[in-house]
Amino acid sequence: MSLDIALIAIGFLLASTLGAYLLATYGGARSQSLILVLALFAGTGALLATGTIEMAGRYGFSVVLALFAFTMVFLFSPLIFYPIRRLNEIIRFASLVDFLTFRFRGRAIAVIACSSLIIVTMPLFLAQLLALSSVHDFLFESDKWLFRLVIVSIIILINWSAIKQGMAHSLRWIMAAAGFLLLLALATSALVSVESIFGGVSEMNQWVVSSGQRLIVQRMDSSYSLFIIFLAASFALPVNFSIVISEHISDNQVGISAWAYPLLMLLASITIFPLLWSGIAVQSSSPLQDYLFAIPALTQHPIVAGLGAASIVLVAIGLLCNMSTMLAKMVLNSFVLPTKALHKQPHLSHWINLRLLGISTGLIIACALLSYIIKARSITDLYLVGFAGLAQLTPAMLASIYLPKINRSGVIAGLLGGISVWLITLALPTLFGDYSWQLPGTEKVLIFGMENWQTWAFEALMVNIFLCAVFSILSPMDKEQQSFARLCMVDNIYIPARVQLSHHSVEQMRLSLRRLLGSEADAEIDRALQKHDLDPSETRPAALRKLRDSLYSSLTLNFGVLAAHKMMEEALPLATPTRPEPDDIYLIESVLAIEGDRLTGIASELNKLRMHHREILDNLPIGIIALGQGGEIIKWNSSMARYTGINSEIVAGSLISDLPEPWHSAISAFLQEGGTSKDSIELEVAGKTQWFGLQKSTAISPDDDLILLVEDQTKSVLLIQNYINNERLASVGRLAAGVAHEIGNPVTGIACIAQNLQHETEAAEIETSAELILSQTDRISVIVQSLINFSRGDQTYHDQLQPVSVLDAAEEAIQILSLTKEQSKEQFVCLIAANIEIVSDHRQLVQIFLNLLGNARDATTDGSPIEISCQPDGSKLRIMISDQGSGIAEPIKDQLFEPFVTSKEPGEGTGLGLWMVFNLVKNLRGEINLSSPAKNSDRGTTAELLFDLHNN
Amino acid sequence: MLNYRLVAVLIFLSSVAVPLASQWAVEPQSSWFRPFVVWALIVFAAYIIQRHRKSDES
Repeated sequence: MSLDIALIAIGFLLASTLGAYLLATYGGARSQSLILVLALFAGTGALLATGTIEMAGRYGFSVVLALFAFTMVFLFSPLIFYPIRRLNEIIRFASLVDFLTFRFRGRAIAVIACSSLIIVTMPLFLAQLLALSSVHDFLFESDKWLFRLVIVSIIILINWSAIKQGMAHSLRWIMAAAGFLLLLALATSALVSVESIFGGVSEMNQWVVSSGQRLIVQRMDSSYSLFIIFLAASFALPVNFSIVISEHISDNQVGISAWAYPLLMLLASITIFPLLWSGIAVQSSSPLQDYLFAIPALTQHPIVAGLGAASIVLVAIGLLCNMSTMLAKMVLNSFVLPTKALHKQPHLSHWINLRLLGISTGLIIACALLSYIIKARSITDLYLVGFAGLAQLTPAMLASIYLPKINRSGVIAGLLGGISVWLITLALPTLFGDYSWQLPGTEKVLIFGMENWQTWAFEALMVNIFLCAVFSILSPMDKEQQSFARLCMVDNIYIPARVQLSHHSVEQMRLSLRRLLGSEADAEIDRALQKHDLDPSETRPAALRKLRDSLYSSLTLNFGVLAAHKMMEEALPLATPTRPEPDDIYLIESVLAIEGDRLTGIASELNKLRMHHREILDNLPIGIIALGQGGEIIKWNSSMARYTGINSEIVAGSLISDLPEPWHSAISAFLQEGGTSKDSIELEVAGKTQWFGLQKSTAISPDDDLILLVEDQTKSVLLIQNYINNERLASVGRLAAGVAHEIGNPVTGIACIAQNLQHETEAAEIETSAELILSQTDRISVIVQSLINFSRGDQTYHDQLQPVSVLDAAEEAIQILSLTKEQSKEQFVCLIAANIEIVSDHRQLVQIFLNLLGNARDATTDGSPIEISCQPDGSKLRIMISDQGSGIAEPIKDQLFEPFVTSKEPGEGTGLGLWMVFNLVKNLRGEINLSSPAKNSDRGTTAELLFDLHNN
Repeated sequence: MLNYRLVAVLIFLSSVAVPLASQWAVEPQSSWFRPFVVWALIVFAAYIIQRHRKSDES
């Protein structure tokens, strides 16, 4: 019979593992969710298969409450696991110890948390070995050594395979197979037992009432303790933590586990009492923890008994593999990697895998040896002690995400105190035998061990919480701890800091990381580049920061928080900031765009307002660039994208120097100049000439971001140019009459001389007449040339400015003005020396003189002189045109340079002259100022022009 | 960002639902499987909430 059961059990083991492997390999999303829930279900190990039946015998319905509490962690996963999962998207945690190390910082916390977890999971290891022993004792009579050797060998083989292929994923399907087998075994064992022993469910119900079992199981005396301890343990159970934070599991799958896992636990729990009552009814001599296979065997159901035995073996092996590899990873990350020079290992992955196997094997062998010397034989006792120990890690875990004031000292003191109390009062007495201690001076005797397990479990937890609170209050918290405490809070939204990197290219980062990780660095960098779809030639600071964050996250998962932090400090350090980094409001905005749906109440309304303002900013018809410290572009609105053809997603995080031409040169030159605005910058964009105006904000403090406004002035510049051309042509028309008169005089003279020439015979007279004709034609040529020069519509821009004689320009303007009205040149008094030159354009300067002298002449009705003078002013030349005319009317003094502003009668002036002069002066990089009354006078007007003096 | 709805549910559960349900589950002369009925109702509620959450996100 026993051999039959053993063979059937082996058959079930092979079939279920193969089935789960095929499902995990070839199954779709739904089967992955099933695998996850079954793996979680098996995470309780031998508890459901063996311990709960014994627990039901001891505590009645309290065990139902305890198992329900164990599932509550998934019912309330939005409160516990979702915040950690959100954080896990930024920093990848390999284990609970890594999470605590990240939150509370420092090696001490890693070492103490890891040691605590190893110590408190020892009873769980021993419980699995005890469950395996029970199966062995029931099935075989051979020496246990051989059985244990086989089991340990299988575990080592599975561990090695799992370590090589990626632990969490590989072990999950073994756990799922165990979960499936366990559920099947519990259901079939309960059914066949009830059917065989009672004859049916209704008969069993009658027996329950008649035997008084109903009243026995309805007691709830230990329910509260069991509820609290199971609930607290479920938070810190390494299997739960590693499965739930795994990147292979989606939020949806976690959501499914919130109801599917409690459902499986419910189905398993329903079978506990029928199995218990079946054993009691037949007065089975087997221990309660063996009922799963002992009762079916007793009722001659070898297949069901084999199924039960197989489920216990697979569940125990699965949990031993899972916990041993996870603890090995924690030990490696906390004790080994932070002190090792990893670059000396030529095959780093293989080196790490060997150590993981060594540590996990060492743990299994240590537990196997320990199981020989311990006195505890009850799986229930071991689970209760183990869960009371696991509960010690829960305060630190909850404080990590809910209590920002809890610090490293508090957690260390709490853990040391709680674990010590747990070890002295509960763990050691349970494993090696109860002992008592009489309080000195009293008759009170304290009994340590399982007899008072509820008291000691609570005492240990209370000591932990008390010490954690007191030490956190009394000890100061450094800035690093405060920062990470804020980061881990449940309501925190992670905003990556706009830190300055000390590397400026991917290649520099690669070389630096290679010095620490050897060839492994290339694989890490390539993975990170692929993840963010970045190019190896990337130099944008924001992209490099993203790459660095990704590397940090990956290194944390592979090497633990401590080693990863050390690597980042050594290989990819941050540049020392010259001043504190400001809050990055633009990064906050980008994060809010993703996380905005988590906001409620007034925060949600404010977020809507923010989005509204952001849309306004984005859709403004003017380009906006915000530059952070270090010249990094952090805002680039849609108008800028339209002007430049560069999308904001591409340019964000770049430096101005990364911009393509002509934007780079134009913006850099403007930033280097002292002024706050610059107009009509001519740029060649996409083969077309365009003009832009730039303005920059005046920073209130050095920490402020710099805002640049970019305005497309192409239309207005073209409009001004057209107006100037039109005005010039109109002037030519007005000049026509004067020109005709001016040319008429020399032509008449030439005609007279020609008539005289007909009668001249003497050579001397003829020569004199010819000279007179030539002088008259010269005069005509000068007049015609002036007219041609003036009417030509060429434009001169900043980069075409050249030295211009001020006297020549002024005289030409006077010459042209004298053509327009009957007016003598003598009215204009030009006091400018012949050798004075400014950096300008001759034609535009003539135009300026024409307008200003014309205005002066129109204002001077009494023929008083109009004076043109100049004087050097540093590197500039100040040109002054003063008249003694009527001056400027008070109402229009402040609007002189605006278009259509004039004091002349309708029909006499358009009001566009001074506006055009203002634009011309600006185009020639000059300044203009009008003052009325004129300088050193009580009437008239002085126009002052300021231009760059040309130094010969 | 405090989840007020969740807090309200927790308060309701701890002050009203749990005491009533536990009292009902272990009443003398009642069926032995009553505690499992309560548990099943909670699982059903979790399933409904999960479905609701999923439809909100999709």
